[in-house]
Amino acid sequence: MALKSSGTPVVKALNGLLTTELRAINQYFLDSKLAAHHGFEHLAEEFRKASFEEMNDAEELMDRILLLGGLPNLQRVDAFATGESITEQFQLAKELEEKAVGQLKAAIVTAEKAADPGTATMLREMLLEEERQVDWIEGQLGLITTLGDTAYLAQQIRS
Amino acid sequence: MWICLCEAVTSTTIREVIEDGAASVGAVAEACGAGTVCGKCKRTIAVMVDQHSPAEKKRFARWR
Repeated sequence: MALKSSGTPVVKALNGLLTTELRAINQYFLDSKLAAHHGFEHLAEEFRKASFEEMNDAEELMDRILLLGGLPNLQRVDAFATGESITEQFQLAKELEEKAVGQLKAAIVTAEKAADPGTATMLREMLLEEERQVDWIEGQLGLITTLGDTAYLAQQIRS
Repeated sequence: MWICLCEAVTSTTIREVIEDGAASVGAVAEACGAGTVCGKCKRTIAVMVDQHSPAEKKRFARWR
């Protein structure tokens, strides 16, 4: 069976998104474990959930790539940094999500140009999800500004 | 933030070694170990060398 990851523009775009998702899975998973290590169980749970959601997205992308005759590229994972503080973790998460949102918008255009409404629909759903995630992260950063680090973190101890 | 996860090196440490005279990605690696294992953070380190090198070292900076 001939699979080509570098095939069509749509497959390329989907593989690009997959690269970002793989980074997101790892970044959020590490954020979660660091938060748990420092005793912030509630936050750890939130990051863990985010990591697993990204893994579901990665699975959907992989299935779609295969359906389109491409090979999902799991070897390429973006480099990432992780925050030393919770605020820094959120700032880096925001950067990551903004990148994902930009990439998704571009991929939707690519899919539409290629007359592939199935892929476009799948990506639109992912886009809404990522936009909600950006909104949540911005909310947390807002809370940290309003309440200060200490008061915010005091709310993150229990799961 | 942790820039090099392989060697657990933070941006603070990398910045310090650059300010102390490490003027290339290779020099940063020698000084603190960042970028010596998988190499994925080298791009970020190159940007940091550009940003934080003392003025007199600037023209020697980058990929060496």
